[in-house]
Amino acid sequence: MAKKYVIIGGSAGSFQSITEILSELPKNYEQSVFLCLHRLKHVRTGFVEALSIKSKLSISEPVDKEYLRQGQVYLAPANYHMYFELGNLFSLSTETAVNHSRPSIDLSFESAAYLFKDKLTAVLLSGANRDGAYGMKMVNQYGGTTIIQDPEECQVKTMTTAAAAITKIDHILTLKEIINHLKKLQ
Amino acid sequence: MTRVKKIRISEYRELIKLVNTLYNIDLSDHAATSLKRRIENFMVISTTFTIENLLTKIERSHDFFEDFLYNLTIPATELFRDGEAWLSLKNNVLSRLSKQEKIKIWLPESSSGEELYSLLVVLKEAELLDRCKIVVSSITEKNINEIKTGSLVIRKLAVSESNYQRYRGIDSLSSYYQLNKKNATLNKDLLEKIEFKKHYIYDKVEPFGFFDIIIFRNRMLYYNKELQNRVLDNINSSMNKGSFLFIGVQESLVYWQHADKMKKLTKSENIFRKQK
Repeated sequence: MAKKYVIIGGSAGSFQSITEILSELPKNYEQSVFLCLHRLKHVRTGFVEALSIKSKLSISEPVDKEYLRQGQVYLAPANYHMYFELGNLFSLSTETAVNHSRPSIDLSFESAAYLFKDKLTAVLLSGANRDGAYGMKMVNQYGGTTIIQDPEECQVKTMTTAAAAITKIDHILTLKEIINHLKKLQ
Repeated sequence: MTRVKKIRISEYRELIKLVNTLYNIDLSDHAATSLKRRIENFMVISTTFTIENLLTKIERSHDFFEDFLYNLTIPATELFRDGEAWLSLKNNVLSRLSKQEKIKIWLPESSSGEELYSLLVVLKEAELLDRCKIVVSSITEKNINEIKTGSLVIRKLAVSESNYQRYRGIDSLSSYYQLNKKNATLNKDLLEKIEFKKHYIYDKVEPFGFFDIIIFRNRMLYYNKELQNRVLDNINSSMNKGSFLFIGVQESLVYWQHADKMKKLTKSENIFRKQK
């Protein structure tokens, strides 16, 4: 079976949803999962540990030029942008913040869209700014699948509605439905 | 975010080839995603807009090329980024060197002043500044001239101050700079004895000395593994046994062919010591 990739973006109000997704993905999940979440830039440790509590999959923050593996969850490190390069490896960057964010969801999504094309599923969750909207547009343009959490269910819906305003969203789903969708990628 | 016209891979390669042919600077081993993006951004700020225009201007004007190169460099994000790492430098490195008569420090590939200025504050507080010989090198004159001014970006000061607190500085960061209405400048006395060098680190180069500490944080992020290897070889040839190398928290030496030469000092921070 062809390898698939899942990228999830979130900001204010998304932590609970991320934890729930991670707790539901099975231990033998075969896809690579990338998390690009807005986080405190000076707090380097603790986030992976917090996310790991309920996750059946192993979670790590990639080191620059690390090869990405299937069945692993990767969290964009604090104060770095996270890119994906040909040869299936990570590249980190300290370039200027985009949408006041580093990591920026737009940059990670665009880079993933370009590299993984139709093998990519991109999910945007709750958030209070517009980061991720342009990234979703790129995912759509390169043939990936776009999913937003139903804005009515988001704690803060700015992010998901901003994405829906500028690009075609393939699926608008509740958290439960998102989880089912991601499980079916198996 | 400005919507930028994307360049094609073939155009990107053509540009890199031209730069190499005309100016003997090889950008082919730079991490492609971010370099491509910076080229696209430069096409907007320089109002060249098309790859044809960009190629023509690079071909015609050396000044334009310098400006291009300057705009490809990535400024450091803030002062005292990863404050705990600076604290570790102070406690685990400077404490070991404090008996030396002279301490030589090199900051290769500096594209902005934040790393240097942070270092100067650390050395001042450790009362070692007078004994240090610091060399700062950069790929363009423009970067060097900017670093020399000691000017600080005002919007980065708040986060820099909180980083400084995490480094557990003995004062307040604001006591090291002058804040005016429109700008902030590092105190002049700190910058008195720095040696600046225009230096190209991507090829095998003659080392210009041996250093006790080399500060090279978040620079290798923009190289592919081959270039990381070449640059680390260059850096290694400027280190003595016992010298220290300070790299970014998410960087690694594992892809370097001579990684066994270095030993990590502490578990949490990326400071290495040359063993052989």
